[in-house]
Amino acid sequence: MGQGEGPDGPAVFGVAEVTGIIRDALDLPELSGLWVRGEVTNYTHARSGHRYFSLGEGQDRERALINAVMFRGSACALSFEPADGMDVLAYGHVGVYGPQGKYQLYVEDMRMAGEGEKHLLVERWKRELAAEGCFDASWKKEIPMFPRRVAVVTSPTGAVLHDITNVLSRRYPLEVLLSPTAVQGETAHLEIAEAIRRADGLADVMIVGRGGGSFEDLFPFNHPEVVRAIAACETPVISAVGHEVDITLADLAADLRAPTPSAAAECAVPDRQRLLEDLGADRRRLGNGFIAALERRRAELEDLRLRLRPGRPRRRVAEMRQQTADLEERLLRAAAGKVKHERLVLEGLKARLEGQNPYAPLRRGYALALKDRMAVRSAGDLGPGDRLKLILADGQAEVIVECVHDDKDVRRPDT
Amino acid sequence: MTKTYEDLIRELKETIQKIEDDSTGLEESIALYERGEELVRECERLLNEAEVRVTTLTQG
Repeated sequence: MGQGEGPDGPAVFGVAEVTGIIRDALDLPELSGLWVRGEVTNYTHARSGHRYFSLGEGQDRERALINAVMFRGSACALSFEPADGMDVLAYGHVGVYGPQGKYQLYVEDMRMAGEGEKHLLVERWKRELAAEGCFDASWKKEIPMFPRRVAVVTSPTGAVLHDITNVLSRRYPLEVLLSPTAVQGETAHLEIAEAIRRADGLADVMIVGRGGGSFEDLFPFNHPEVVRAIAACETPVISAVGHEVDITLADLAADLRAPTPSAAAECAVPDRQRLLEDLGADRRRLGNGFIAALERRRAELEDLRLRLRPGRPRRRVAEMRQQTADLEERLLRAAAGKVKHERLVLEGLKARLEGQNPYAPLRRGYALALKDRMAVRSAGDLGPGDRLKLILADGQAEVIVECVHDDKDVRRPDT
Repeated sequence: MTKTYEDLIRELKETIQKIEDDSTGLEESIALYERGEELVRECERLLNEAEVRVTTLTQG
């Protein structure tokens, strides 16, 4: 209804208009999203799924009451069933409900006061710690690829340590440094933080873990003491607190968050089965590289040989086949890791080459006779009066031939 | 101090690269091959012989 003239002239408002003014007046930032603490009264769980109730506080003249409604979309997320007399924290906004002429709290989230306060506390800590930079992605450290030692901050008696060592044994066994701590209780946050600081710098990666539990059980892992200890760690930290759905502030501060302790162990180390497979591939590459290197030399050698000895193509082809077969044989042996054997063969060849040294027999008592600087091979080359040079192992002598006996007709035992 | 797996793997990769390099001489190739084999065996030994050892930090 529009604005009209009253009997005496002043403005007259329609009900909807007044309601509108009130609605506008209540459209305040403070009322558009707030937590309200109070006692539940007149609680009704309607068949529609909506919850109607009031939040009350104080007695008699100090008494204050606010109507509240929680629609089923929000109510289905409730972690408890509200009841009259319950001390709760409700989050929502204050609005006007025109048809019934009342203002009320439209509740989106509600918690029991004790627990709710802790949630609020966690939210406050989260803001503060974020402002301190504890969750900055730019500070996150890489988890090393091949750690030598893993530190585990957890209860010495829980399943967490067992789960972690199990995975590590299978996957990549290494030294585990347990930094024991209580993980729940009044002073757990202090102990956990201390255990983290104690293990820092003593390992290549650290797992901070705790098995599943209620919000209350995991609460120490939201405490700023623990969060700051993790953020300050030199050692990269993997967190594994509770189940996948539970995200604590410790998880946010860690360099990596794993859904479970077992998963944290998997994140901390590589899989040795994979590494062994990779090593197999590396070994093949090494062998192939070596064979290719030998092949290159062989090809070079072959090329040189052909240039040195042109002609006689048929024989050459036969020789090349033989040589190729020899080389193949050697390659196979070498590739099988028998390079040392090749070395021995080479040593033998060297020794045989040594045997070809014309001076070598001198050490065994033979003498080399030279005439005009040429070796004397036959008695027929000599005549009486010839001047010869005898070369011995340790010196030389000039001699004159007196007479020559040609042995050509004498039967010698070695012929 | 003994070499870590990481050190050994790094050296192995370098060895393979060198042996695959055309300009590497034969003598060096043989030495590289022997070294490479040694590295592979050492890596395998590290992986196969490793065991989980749990040491506990004393509190306080």
